[in-house]
Amino acid sequence: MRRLLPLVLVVLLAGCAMGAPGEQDAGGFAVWRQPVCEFQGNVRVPLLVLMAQAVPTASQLPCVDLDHLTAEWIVSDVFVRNGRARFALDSIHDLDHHAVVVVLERTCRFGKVTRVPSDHPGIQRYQEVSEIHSGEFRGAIHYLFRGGCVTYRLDFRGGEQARPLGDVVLALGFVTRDAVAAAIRDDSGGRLSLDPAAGRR
Amino acid sequence: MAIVRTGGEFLAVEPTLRHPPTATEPASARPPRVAPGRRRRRPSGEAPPLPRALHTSGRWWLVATGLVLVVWTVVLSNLTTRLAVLDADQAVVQQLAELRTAALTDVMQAVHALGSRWTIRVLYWATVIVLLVFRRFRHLFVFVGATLLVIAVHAILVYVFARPRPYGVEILGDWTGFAHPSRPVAVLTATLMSMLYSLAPQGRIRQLGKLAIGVLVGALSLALMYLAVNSPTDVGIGAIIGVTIPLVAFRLLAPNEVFPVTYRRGSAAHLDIGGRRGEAIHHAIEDQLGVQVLEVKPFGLSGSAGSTPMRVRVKGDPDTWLFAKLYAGSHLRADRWYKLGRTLLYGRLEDEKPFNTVRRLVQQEDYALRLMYGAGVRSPEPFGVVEITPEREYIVVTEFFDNAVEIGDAEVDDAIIDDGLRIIRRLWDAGLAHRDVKPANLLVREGRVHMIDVFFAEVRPSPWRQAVDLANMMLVLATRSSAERVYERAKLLFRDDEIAEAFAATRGITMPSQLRRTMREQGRDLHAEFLHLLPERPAPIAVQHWSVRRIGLMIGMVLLVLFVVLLAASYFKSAGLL
Repeated sequence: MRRLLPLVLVVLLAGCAMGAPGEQDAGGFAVWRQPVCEFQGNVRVPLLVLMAQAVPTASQLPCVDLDHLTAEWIVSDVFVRNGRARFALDSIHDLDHHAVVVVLERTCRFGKVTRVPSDHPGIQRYQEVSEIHSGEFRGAIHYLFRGGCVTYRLDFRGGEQARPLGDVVLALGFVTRDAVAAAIRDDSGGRLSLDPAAGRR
Repeated sequence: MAIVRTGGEFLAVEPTLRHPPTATEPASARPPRVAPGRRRRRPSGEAPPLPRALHTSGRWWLVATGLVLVVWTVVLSNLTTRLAVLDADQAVVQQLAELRTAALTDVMQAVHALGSRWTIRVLYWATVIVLLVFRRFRHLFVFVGATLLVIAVHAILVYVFARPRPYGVEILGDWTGFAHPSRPVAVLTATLMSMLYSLAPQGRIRQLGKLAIGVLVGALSLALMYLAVNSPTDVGIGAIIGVTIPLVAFRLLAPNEVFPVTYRRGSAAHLDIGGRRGEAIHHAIEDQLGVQVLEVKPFGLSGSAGSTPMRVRVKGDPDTWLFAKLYAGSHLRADRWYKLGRTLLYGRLEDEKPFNTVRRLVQQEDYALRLMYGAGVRSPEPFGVVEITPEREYIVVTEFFDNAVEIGDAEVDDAIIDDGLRIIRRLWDAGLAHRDVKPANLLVREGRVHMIDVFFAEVRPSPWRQAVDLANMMLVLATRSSAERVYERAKLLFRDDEIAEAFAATRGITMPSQLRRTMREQGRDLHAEFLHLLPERPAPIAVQHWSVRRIGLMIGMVLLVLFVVLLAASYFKSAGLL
């Protein structure tokens, strides 16, 4: 029995390491579990699917564009429940602090906002500045789209307001719900669909 | 010679003439008037009297769970098999969704609350409180550990599988995070299973409890699938984890034979000596001491907190009682805490080094018994150590003082006073200290004082410690007579300066609590009475010993407690239990 247990554990770990398709290396294993906009050309990323299920009306899903995410930032505090999804970006220089918190909900509550030209087609962008002083910047960017709203809560420290804001806006993006639904349908040979068929409860 | 053969069949001791064996005499290896039994050496490879092992079913659960998880991981790693599983899951969830009605949905929403964090929190903390009230710390630690382990394993598996909620059906219930395995099912099952194994006594109640858990978890699973929060494989794997981890944890760390669930009040130090352990004790004493055991009974539990005392009736002419003390890991830990507490409270008065193993602890007791007996102190004759579970449980067996009464209940005349004082004189002469002189440890039998419970005995103690032994003996004797009378008798064996030193050394904290309580009940300040009798009032000897080590230890303890509280709070919070 004692000889068998380590063997079982080794096989279990090996099995776990195999993971999902397209995650042949340890880096891929971790990336596949982050809110990335696509992984190896596939948008059927588990967290995007989960976010789509959390806010079933949302036509857009927030995500991290790995191609534009600089090495200074890491994704943390991923939390998804029915009605709400959230993740954060932390600077590697200050891991105890969420510089950006991205929240997806069906609706947003605005403060004093200004509409600005959107960097994403079909999505309205509103900006809110709460505080700028002595090298700190606090504010929010709201993106409004059909069936949902995404808020970037910004809290930058360290005296560099413009550069991190530019980094973040570039590294965060959207994937359409339709694209995720299509990927699920394609991967399953048409057997699975993200959302209930029309008229189905 | 004290030990004589009678007819070649029995060993007998003439009680009043008994004296310890000299260097040329072999020590008796068998109790007095005891019929010899068959000694048996346990051969290599044979299990000890009470082996520590998982139940067979526990092992199979562990192996089966491991295999299920391996197979499952492989199945979900392959696209074809994963889709087949998803198809099957989907079919069930969609079939259930076809049954949805407003009323049924309300019912299922209510059942869904079984797996809510608040339900789990209420069940969890209620169990913790019950286990604390009944001081079943072993069960408490296993309960907390098993449930937290299930939550941790669930978190790992959820991350590994990263499986979204069921597709193609409207999700009606509340949910958090990935679906596989189902957290509500895993955590509710684990909590209920842990409650069952820590609260329900073995037998019919536990069997019924298993049935009830099956019904509750089944209902929750059905509700989760109906509401499309989880699919069948989510709840299935959740249930497997929730059952296996507590089951194996309790069978491994708190097996019922060793730590039965009972609701008797009593010292947490006392282990159950019935059931499998009782049988093991019976056979182990027979095999290892070569006697024929007729009966094993708990004895004097209220007077002992550091071990589980018992009486053993062995075959003889007539049948004879032996005294035995069972020591286990819990007693070792109690001894460690006791010594740490003394160091923190009083500083380092004397040797407060804790024991590392149960074996060393019983070796100390057996050694102390032999030392006392060899020094001619009227103390129980040691008959040796019996192994129950290697490195975990041992029994120290000694002579039982039949027809003896505690000195607190005996008539104390000059002869008894002299006898008690003579014991201290003998300890001093032998360079020993008893360190726990109190009424419960002084028995009077046939007009002689006998000293028991020599566990704390110390070789070459500090003069301060010897002086405290004398003072405590005089105080005990005075509780049954008067300070004047005891002082007069003491002067026959001790010099005035020795008696003065004794009362300079002793005060509240150096007196055993039973002795303090007795004096309080009598409304007498015997310490002051003795001081008054002394020709010259001695300057008190400082008891509190301050050292860098003690201060460091105190600061360390405070920081450790704070750290543990904060860590536990953070862990419970992240596990959703706060």
